[in-house]
Amino acid sequence: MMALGSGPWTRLAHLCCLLLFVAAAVLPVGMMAADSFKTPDGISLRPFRVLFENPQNLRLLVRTLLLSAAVAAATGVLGAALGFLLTRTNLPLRRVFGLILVVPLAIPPYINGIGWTEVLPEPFIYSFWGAVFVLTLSYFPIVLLFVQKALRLAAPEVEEAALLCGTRRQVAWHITLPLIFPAVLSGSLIAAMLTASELGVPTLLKVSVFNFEIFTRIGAFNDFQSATILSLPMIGAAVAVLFLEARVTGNMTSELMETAHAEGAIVRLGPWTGAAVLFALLMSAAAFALPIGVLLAKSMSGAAYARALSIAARPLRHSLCLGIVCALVLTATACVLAVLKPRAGWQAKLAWALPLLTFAVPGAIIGLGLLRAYDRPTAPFHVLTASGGLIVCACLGRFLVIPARIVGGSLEQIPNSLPETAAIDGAGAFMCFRHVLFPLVAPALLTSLVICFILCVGEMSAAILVHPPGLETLPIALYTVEANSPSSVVAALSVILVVVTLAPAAALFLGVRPRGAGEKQCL
Amino acid sequence: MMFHKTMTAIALAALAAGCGPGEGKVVVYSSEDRIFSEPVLKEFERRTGIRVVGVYDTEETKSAGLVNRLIAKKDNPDGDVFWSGDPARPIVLKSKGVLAPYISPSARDIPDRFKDKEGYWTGFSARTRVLLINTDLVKESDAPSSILDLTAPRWRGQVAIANPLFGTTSFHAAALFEALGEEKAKKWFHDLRANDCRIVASNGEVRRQVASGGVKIGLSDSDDASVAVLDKKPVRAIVPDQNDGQIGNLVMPNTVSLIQGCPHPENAKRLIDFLLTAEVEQMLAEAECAQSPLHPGVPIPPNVLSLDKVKPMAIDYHRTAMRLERIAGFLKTWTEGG
Repeated sequence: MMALGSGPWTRLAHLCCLLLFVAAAVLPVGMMAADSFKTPDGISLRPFRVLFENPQNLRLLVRTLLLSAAVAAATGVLGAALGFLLTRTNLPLRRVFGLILVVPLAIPPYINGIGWTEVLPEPFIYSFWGAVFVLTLSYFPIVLLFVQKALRLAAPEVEEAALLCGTRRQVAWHITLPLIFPAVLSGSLIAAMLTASELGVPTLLKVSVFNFEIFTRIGAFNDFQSATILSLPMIGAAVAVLFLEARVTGNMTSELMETAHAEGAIVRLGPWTGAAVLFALLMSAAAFALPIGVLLAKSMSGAAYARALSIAARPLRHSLCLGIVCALVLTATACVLAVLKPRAGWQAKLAWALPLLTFAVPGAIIGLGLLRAYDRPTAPFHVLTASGGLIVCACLGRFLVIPARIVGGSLEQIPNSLPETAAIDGAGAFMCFRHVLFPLVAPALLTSLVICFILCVGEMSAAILVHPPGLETLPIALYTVEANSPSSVVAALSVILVVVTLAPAAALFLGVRPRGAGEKQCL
Repeated sequence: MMFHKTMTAIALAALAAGCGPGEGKVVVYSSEDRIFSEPVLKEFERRTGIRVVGVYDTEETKSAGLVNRLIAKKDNPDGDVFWSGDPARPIVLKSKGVLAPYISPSARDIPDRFKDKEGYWTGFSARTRVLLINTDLVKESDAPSSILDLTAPRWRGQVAIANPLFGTTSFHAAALFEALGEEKAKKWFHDLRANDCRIVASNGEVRRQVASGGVKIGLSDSDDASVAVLDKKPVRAIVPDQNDGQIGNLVMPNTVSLIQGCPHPENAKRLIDFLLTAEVEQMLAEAECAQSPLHPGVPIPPNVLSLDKVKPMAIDYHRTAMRLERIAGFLKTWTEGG
């Protein structure tokens, strides 16, 4: 397990970065939580009755956990299978499939859901399993990207050695699967948490979930206190996820990936090529062609695009700026936290746990917390609020866990011997990072930038509360014109949102070829 | 170096957008559908040269919404004017100290029942609730004339209503409690539920369900109905409960309010004065939302309902908004199937 955090200065720098994250995201949520204890008679636990007074809350919580678990399982299976196909096999057109299959990340799940309601029969799509279906198709690319990254970094020597004494199936089951299991688990857990915080799809498909109960407290009752209290079980679920993750993955990473440093070997599909291509095609159709096809069919008029562009022009610029800034801030924060992480102790544990805890908090609560903490007329706060800085803080709170997992996971796969050797040769921490670690984690940083850009451009639940007047983003524009606008204009706006979100991702993926491409050894 | 320059430029641009000098600018929070409110605000901008910055709302069930943002920013408001699509929101905001009084000279001709006595909100251009009927599935002679008819067995599973915890449907629910009395209103809601009515996310979704034939009837707003009719969907709007002995229909004016401690109060008052003119009411009558003017004598197109011809529900808006707070628990239990 790699870490540069041995010296006092690196420890201090890590602490400063951690404190910045705490100020940006944890403190506002903490203030909301502290407010939830307040009553006109003073501090009391009485408001917490809201958690228990209605048995419906428990039912909704159980249903939400089941929905999240089902989506986690389905995204795990699909993401792992597709990740292996795209990274470790000679699947034809795998770079094209690789690009197409990340598109669903750029399509708001709600829009994806609208597409499927027009295709699938009513009893199925308007059901629990309909929601599982739509959300799985929206979130499996997260697992796919995690698995691709893990497979690219996994040591081929381990599999090659295993092949000497076992069949390919045995190697896949006993070596490759454990190698990618931490990545599958991390990706699936993130998919599960995103499912738990999703509101649009369950509302559209008439599946009652716990998050809607939280939202109802805010939207219908203007009751921030109860909404915050109702968020606590979600934070509890995040804590449970942390324990589960720690127990299941344990020392797996360090034992199995200690020597990871090179591209893996390619498996020839042989007679399975047709079936594999069909599978990839079906997934591409389900995840990309159908929702985009529905949007394109609805928006097929120049007038619709002209109208949509007139609405989207300014929000488009704001979204691009904010997306870039947020992606850089999130990735840089994750990188600093991972690179300078102390080998053990509370600092390291907090840096790993806090982003997951804030990830579990609904966006509206984060938004309200940021206003509670920082919406003040005095100069530094005013600049933060009026410049859109609160949107960056909201994105840090909502999504830092993802770059932290991507970058942190990559660094953990780098053997200690590399930076230690550099240190023996006299390299300082920065030199060691610049010349040893950075080249190895660059693909992970790139993946992190792309995913952060996509997620931050699509963020709406907190941004609609904290964006300064005149600095609305594209999703805000889309959702605020949706009511009563012609469906062609809404569809055209959705297409613009998808294209804008995907363009930088496509450029990055097409512009950067994986290291060692074309030099892979075939098994 | 290039990277540093780009980042600096982005930061400066963002700061410039947010921290402008504030002269010649007014910030309006609008919960009226953006597609209808934005052209009116652009017209004000064109005439006065005052830049209008709009902060718009989503449908009620899709975000925490502007009212919560206004409450959260009460001590440091960045908005000047609140344009609401109904009278319930400003009454909530008034009770929380978010609004300031302003009596506009433009509102002199607007009937008193559409204005707050203290000037915290003033009504203009109204919507009504309507029964939206799918004309392919329901003959004109078979259509119900009252919302109380929706509990009849022949409409079992064929009625859609937006979640009554949110938006105009919540205000309509409170108005029904006012007009019918608590016992009758609760019975109607229970009977509606027993008749398998569909509870959907929004009035827009009600419109989509009726237009697509998913249900035969929906309870919605007149602007949703107007959009569907202009979109040539097979729908027709009926103003319910207009006969003798019936309770009348809910009329919901837009309202405009001044925000307490707003940064641009003079420009805000100019915008409020503009919004309350008969001319703006005519614009909103001629727009797709087909809203009914409150000023007397405003010429209106034939597709717009004249409020002179509507029998309104005999309710007081303030009392109805207060009633809404009291029945929210019942409505929540009702939506959960209890």
